[in-house]
Amino acid sequence: MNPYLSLLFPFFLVAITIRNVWPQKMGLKAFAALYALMVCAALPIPLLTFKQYGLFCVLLAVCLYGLITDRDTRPENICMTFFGLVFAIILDNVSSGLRSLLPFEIPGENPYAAFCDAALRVILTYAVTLLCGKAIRRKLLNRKGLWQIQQVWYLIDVALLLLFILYFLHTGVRADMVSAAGLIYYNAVFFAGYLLVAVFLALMMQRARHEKMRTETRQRAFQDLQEYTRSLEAMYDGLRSFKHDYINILSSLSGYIENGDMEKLRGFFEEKILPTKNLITQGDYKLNQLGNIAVLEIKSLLSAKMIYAHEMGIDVTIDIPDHITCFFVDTVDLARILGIFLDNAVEAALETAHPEVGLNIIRNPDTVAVVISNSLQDSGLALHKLNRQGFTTKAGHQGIGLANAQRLIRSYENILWETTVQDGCFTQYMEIVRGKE
Amino acid sequence: MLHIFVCEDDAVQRKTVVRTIYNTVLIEGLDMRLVLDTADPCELLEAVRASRETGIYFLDIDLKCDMNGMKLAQQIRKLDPRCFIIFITAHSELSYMTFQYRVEAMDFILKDNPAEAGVKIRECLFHAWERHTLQTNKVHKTYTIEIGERKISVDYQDILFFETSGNVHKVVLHAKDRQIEFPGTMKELESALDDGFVRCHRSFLVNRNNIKEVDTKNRIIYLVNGETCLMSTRMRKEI
Repeated sequence: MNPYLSLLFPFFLVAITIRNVWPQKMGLKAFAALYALMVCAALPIPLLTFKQYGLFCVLLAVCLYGLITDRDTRPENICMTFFGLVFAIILDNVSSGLRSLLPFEIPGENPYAAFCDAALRVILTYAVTLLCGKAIRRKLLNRKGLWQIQQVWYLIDVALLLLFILYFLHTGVRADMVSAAGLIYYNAVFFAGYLLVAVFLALMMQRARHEKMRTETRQRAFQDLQEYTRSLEAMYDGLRSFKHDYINILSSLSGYIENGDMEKLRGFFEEKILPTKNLITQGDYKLNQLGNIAVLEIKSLLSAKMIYAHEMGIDVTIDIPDHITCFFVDTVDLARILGIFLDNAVEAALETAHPEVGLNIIRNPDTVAVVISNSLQDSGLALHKLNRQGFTTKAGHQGIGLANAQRLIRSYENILWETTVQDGCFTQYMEIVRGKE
Repeated sequence: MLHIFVCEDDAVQRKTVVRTIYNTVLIEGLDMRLVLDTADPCELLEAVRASRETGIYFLDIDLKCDMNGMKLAQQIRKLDPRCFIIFITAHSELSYMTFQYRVEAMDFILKDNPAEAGVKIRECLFHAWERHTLQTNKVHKTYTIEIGERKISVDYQDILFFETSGNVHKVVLHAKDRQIEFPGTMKELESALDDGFVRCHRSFLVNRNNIKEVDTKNRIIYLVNGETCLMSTRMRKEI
């Protein structure tokens, strides 16, 4: 029989198996394409000395197919390709075993019997794989728990790929009757492959870590923003209740005026109306100005720190007159720097009799200026010692905050950073210039 | 002679401010003159264009006009760069810091407490006078850092030394009560500064006038505020 034709049938079985365990529904067209691809990839097999290499070719072709189609389940596709292949081989072995148990021989020359045998095998394969495929889809491909993480699938893929490479190489080497040079060659190939896989794994891990960090930052930003919204609502409620009082005040005022009772009016004014001045100025720390910052991470960080400072009884001034969409530096770095500065400002301010913290962000055509100031207890603080690693004014702290901030700022060439101590006021000032790109 | 200008849209409040200024100048015998009080910022700008003297400006922020106090102040600053600008306002929608940053406002007077406002106006006049005489009598040499459209000037006498940072393109300026890290290189600095500054070490450029003592044995330079910088053997004879 023609070697090419003899390949068609087993590959048909393999294709059926893969179709049935495929993570997504595979239509007739896609199945035809897959089968055609496999046969094409298998074409060089009869020419090769070692058939195993040919199989490897087919495997790669199917993997490629999995990568190109159904992109949202890529790693699963590849995994299922491996699985399908192994599964097909096992089924074939089982069916051969079963056939050998039969009490009669299947006559090889009889085309009718051969056809029956082939049909039976196709039906058997189809039924078994369909059942298994359904079970697998329900158990593994349901995208729940561990299986929803793409990296897990990639890991499985890599492990399977390694296994296959090992298997093929092993059989290949055995068939080659190993010369020393050959052995070195195979080893080299194997280790190169292994290295590739390791690099790939490392990259995957790196990406997973990055992803996790991003989610965490997002989560924290979200929580801070919720706090910010709550504060704004509280402020609004306060204002509303004041509005309500205001009407009452007006009506009592008009009552006194109608009666022409100047003395009582004066008393009422001094007792009831003047104190409302404090009501307006107090607690109004212009948190709403943070709404001018369009960078979510920065906004949430600033709101969290400022709300905290306000709750600690610090007189907080926030002033952000312009809408700011971009800070010209990496947001994560800037958030870290600002976090350090604000923490320090709050702590230093709390040591003073009238704690004050000011936050000021100003946008210019080409720069963004950030000014963080706080009241300072004059204790002969030496400015030049401040940024040193290990310098701290607080017991039980390591003094790495400012040193870290310095390192971060230094890595940017477009930041000017000024630290000033003047008249009991400590100021951190940063001017960030738009990058040249 | 300093010229005083007032721009305030509320006539009653303007009168109060003017009276305070007038009294202060008269009683203290300051060399100042109230030139104009108006509600119209355009009229004020015309007067500034005509004037040749340095001015002191008391401005309201909300002028009930298409030009607010901030824009007015920016215009004035262009016409009269060495002027003194003081804001008088009822609302603190914008904080002092923004004004200081934008137009180098000297002070910020809240008019919700008239008595306190009067005291502050007096203080501002004195303060402006002091700074004015200082500026005219003594010519300071200053080093100016430019970044974007912002300029930061530091008097030579306040500078202790420059130091390289970990970043090749950034330098740290150490002054008496401030520290500035800015984009620049030592080479640029050396050519920009005068002889008062000595390159005592590969990574230090020290102000000769602010050195307290030199420890030649350990090759350390002590500065007036207790900071130290290093000195290389090769550069020793320079100091």
